[in-house]
Amino acid sequence: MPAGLGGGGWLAISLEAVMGTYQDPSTAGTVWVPILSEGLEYNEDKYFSPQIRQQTIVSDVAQSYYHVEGDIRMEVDPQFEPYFLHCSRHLITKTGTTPAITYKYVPSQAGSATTVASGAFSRTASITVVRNGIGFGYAGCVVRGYEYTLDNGVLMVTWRVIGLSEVDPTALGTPAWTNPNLFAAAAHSVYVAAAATSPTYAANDTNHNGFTFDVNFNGEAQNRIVPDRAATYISYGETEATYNTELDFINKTEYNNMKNNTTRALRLESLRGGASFALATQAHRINMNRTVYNTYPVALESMGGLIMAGVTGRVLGIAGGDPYSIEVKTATDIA
Amino acid sequence: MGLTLKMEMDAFPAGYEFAINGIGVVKNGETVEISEDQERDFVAYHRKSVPDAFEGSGTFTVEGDATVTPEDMPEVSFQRAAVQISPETAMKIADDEELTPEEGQTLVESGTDTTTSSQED
Repeated sequence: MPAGLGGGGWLAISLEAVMGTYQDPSTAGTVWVPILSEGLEYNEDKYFSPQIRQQTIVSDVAQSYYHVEGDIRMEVDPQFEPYFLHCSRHLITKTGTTPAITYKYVPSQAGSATTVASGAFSRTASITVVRNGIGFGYAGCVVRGYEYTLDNGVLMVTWRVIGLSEVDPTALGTPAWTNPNLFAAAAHSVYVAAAATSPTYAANDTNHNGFTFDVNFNGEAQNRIVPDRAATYISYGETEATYNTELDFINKTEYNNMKNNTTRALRLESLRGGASFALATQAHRINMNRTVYNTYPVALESMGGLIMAGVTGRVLGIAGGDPYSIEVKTATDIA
Repeated sequence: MGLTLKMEMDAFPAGYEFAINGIGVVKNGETVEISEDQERDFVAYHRKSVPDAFEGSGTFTVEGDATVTPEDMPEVSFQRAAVQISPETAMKIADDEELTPEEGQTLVESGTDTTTSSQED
């Protein structure tokens, strides 16, 4: 096999019928996902024997428990994004019919990853990565956290994936690729409103420079005593949802909001093919129904530098509602 | 009979366009005929015949017989062959001694010969 380049590789995802039972890319329902980079790895703490036997170097090695883990970075494309969000710690609702299906993802309190064979439920996935023509299969994969951000105006996402095991694919199938549907610079608007279970947003806010929304489910691989080294299941911990952005410093209102723990709702909306979520052919919303500024630093950083606040915020729970939700409008119909 | 390829991805609407390297655009739910030129391009990309590449697929159905297979394509090599010389030959090179015609030919064939010209001088 000649040397290969990253661009010749590919990634496929297939939602699993049975958690941890690997489905190679020839399986019906597999989709090939355009990515920017990936770093899925076999992850094992090997046991190096420190036996004391007249040597000061470890003398043996034994295989230990392992799991798979790594990031997948991609442009947010509503054709494929739902597959990864289905594998996150969410409750899912699905409305509409193709080509205008809306998935809504809200935080779940599940203590571990689960799957079902079909439907709008939290799932696990088999992910296949082909590097230089050689396949790597990862089974029982879920998203243990993710980060949405704007890069040069384009909405990007990094999925922090964790999975149960690695498998050698018996078949790799042949990829098929759709045209990209990206959310570029003119697609986005930020809205701010009073915190509420269903906030009432008015005109979009024009002060935000950059936007990053990060959720960490604190997923960890759990190994139990079974005759297998692969992980037994993926546990979840606290859900930490945060955001950061930059704001022009033009008065002390927001600064005082930080000091006073004023809670507010925040939305990043991205549209394609229409001027509203309802009219768009494809759309994406990050809704944070109750947030608070965590830090709001304002400084004179340089003679020619704009005075801006590089703020960080945290999403809080809200009585009777969802702390946050992600809505995706797409033609993709996940069975 | 030429090859045909049908794609069925239930998650996407009928008529949704996908591209397959070597074949081109295929519409979801529709069948396309694959020409011999497309087959050749496909094999160049994938190093597999079209039927072999989609064998067992839950998404694609191929019908017909392949006219182009990987055996029809040239072998690819990307590394120089390792130099195979005897220890005696190596000692001669180190001592700048004259090589026999057979030893010189071995080096020429390996592409590393630097002594042939001096032998001819």
